[in-house]
Amino acid sequence: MAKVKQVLTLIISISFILLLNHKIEDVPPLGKLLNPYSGFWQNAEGFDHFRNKNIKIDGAKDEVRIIWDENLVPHIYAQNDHDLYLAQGYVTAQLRLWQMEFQIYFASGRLCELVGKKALQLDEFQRRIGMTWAAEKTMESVKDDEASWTAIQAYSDGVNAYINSLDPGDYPLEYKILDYSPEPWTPFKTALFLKYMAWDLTEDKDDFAKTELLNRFGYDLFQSIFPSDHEDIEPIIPEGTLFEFDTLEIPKPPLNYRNPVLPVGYNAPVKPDPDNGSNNWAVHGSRTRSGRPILANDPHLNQRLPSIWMLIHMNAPGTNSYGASFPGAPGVILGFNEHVSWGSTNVGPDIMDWYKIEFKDESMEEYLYDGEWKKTEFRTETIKIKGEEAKEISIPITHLGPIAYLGKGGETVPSLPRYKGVAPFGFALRWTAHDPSNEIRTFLKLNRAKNYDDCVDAISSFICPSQNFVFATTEGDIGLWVIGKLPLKWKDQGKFLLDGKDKSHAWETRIPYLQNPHVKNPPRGFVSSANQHSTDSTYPYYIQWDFDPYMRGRRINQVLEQSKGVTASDMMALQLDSRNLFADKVLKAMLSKVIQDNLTDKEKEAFEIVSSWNRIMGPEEVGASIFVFWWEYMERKIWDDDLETESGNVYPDVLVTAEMIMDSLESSWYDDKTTDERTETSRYILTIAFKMAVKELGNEFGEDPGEWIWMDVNNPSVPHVAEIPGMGIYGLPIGGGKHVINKQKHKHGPSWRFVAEMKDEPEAYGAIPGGQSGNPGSRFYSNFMENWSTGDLVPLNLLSYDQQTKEDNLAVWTISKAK
Amino acid sequence: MKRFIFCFIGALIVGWIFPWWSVFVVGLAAAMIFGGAGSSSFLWGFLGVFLAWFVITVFLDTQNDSILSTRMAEMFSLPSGMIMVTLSSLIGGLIGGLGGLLGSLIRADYFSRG
Repeated sequence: MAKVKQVLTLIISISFILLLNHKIEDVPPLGKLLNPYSGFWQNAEGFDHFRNKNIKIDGAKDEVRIIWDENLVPHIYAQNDHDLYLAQGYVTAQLRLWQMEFQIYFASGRLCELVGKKALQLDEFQRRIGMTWAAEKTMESVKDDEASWTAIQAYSDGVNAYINSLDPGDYPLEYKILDYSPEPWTPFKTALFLKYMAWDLTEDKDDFAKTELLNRFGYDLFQSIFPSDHEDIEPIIPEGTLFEFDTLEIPKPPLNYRNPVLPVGYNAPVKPDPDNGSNNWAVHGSRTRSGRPILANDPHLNQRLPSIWMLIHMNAPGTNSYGASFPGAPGVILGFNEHVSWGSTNVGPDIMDWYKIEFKDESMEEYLYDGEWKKTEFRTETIKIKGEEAKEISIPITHLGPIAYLGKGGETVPSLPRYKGVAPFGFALRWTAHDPSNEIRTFLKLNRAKNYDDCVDAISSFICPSQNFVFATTEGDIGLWVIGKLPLKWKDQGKFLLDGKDKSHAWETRIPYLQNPHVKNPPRGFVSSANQHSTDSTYPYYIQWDFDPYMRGRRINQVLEQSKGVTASDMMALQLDSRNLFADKVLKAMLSKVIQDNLTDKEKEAFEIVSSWNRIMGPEEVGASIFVFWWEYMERKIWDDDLETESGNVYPDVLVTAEMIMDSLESSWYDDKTTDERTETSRYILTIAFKMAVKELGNEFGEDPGEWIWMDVNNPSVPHVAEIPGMGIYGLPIGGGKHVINKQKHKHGPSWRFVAEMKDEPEAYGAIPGGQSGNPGSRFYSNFMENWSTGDLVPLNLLSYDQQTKEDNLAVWTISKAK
Repeated sequence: MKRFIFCFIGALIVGWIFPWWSVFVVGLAAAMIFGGAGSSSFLWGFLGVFLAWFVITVFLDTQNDSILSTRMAEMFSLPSGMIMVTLSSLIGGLIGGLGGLLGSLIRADYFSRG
């Protein structure tokens, strides 16, 4: 009996320990996670967490010194380029290891290894659109450039030196919650990271849905709501700029492009955010108080913690730059050095098209192109799945690109209403991110650029994602370049799905890089971009048909045109500007069409509020909330019955809808196809949409319209990358929104705010909506949030090691060669 | 009381070198060395390890201004960081207590035969 008791107690004890030592479903391994020695308590950074250290790394060539300043920004002082990137890898891993690796699991379709088969659709999608295939091509190009290859390798060595120094108790918190361990880093993972950014910033133009609508309405009616030319634009390259170069022969559209095949497709589990956007501008010395140029930049991305950016200052012979870096890639990505500053916004050209492939037979080994049968290549990828057998997939690859989904056999169309289709069945994906490219070279060169010409050389190797780069130099030059591979296309090529067997549908050549739209020192005394049209119609080439509307760009230009004696703090204030030019354009007309007699008392109260609204998207404005809801209900009311497609509902450009509402009382689009009578007019639509908006605001935010303040409705937030509860920040008390410079739309907005005045010794300022540390247990997890929110950006200095004031610094590290 | 002190001091030390569940062995050893009934061995093992983990976690939590314990509590939908301290200590306590129980059973069996 005694033995039975002993054995029973032993079994209970061991089971209990095992239970607490393993992750079960979504419950973390509680014993491992909660114990004080190696659990999360070890990630609870104490007051003296950052201490002086001497670190030995195999492969370090000379001594590197690193100062951690009071904001936990590392200032790296190396004696050669190799050590510079080695140290960057080490310190970045120290702050952001989990995030770096998680992004790679995501980008390369390996999430199943962590969370099991629930991520299978997502993983498969990443592989089928050719993410790893593309990264392999980038690696080949990077190897051709010695400086890039040195940097990417040294960076990787630095990350691994850090990983090797860790005991399980030192692992970042998320490894403990999700119960896994870090893997070695590789240069290939940096290439994968760059493809991840390329995907995030390539705008999907809904070719698939647009083709369905083309078939439904015919060409003319389709074009009337999705026009290729817009009258009211504010081009990035100022009107009047001459495009003086020998243009390549511009291809003519083939006659058959208006009648493509009707596709069936796949609802993609991930799709780039349609509201990715950004602002940048550079003001010439003639308009500034100091007489030197000032540059400002705020790229907009999905906001998350740990932040997508990490601040870093990198100093070695021949380079001294400071700015925002990507955890996962070497160099300063956006920032400044002693001579130049640079900033970027997204162009969103049409660089992702789909081609219908005609195979000879079921084996898919040959496909028709230009009257000949070409051989298909097959790429096999293995998706490992936690707790289950791995799944092998075969991806047919044509010279046009990979065929993401075949649409037969066991492939089902999953129902994921939030993410609508980008991948039609049996179509090859042609995407510039699949072309050989070396984006790393661009950043390494920018980090060393001494003048405007060096900047132009730096961007020459950049392929994807296409960006508007602004420059300002200490020599007084300002300029803007549309960078990246812009394919030489016939007008509207790729607006609809294309025919893969027709040679005239294919594109390969790019617009010569020196003929990409650009401008240097324009007479108006500033350059700017906000994702709108690159040029006016005098630019000889076709770029795309669907740019962002002009509102943010025009607001920036209006303010800069009137400005004299500009200072850096004026520019910080302009980044926070929330004046809504879109409301200026449409609100008066919208109000005038509401049928007053039909409104209840509460609706009348809301009507009064939005009528007297100052058209600023301020945090306390109730008018902003009513306007945003009202517009959305109106769009739905007009378009949902007309524009529903297999791959989701697509809306025309807001300006098309705006013009219609303002100009025409009646239109066939107003008619609700779901009702028999045809009585709907713009007055009816606007009245009913207003009522719906008021009702919905009342349901969600309380009966009293005075409570519908914009910051509660917009709920500006920065969630955790893996959306782990408790690790994000919600309900920031800030303004901003769509169509305004401060484009903070719920979880999406300015991911890096930067201003640089290019004096002989440049004075620069920056902040991110988060912090330096990726550790939720750190005081530096969101240490820049306050500065970012208020626009009171933090000074960034390029001082040498000896010039750095030492009192406020947290620690000094030295890295030296392991004996 | 000896078992309590042994478990308290043992728990403070072992986890830094051995896996977190090594406090089980501490409870077990305490009961085998000092003897006593199963229920009291469980209790002293529990209290000794509980208190040791409580002291360490309170120290770490204070050094951290409860930044992380508050976030972790939110993750588990619990109201405060102090609950995380208690929950952690409870896990340690239970493991230590089970060690104590097993230790006393083995010792009783050994002596009854011996």
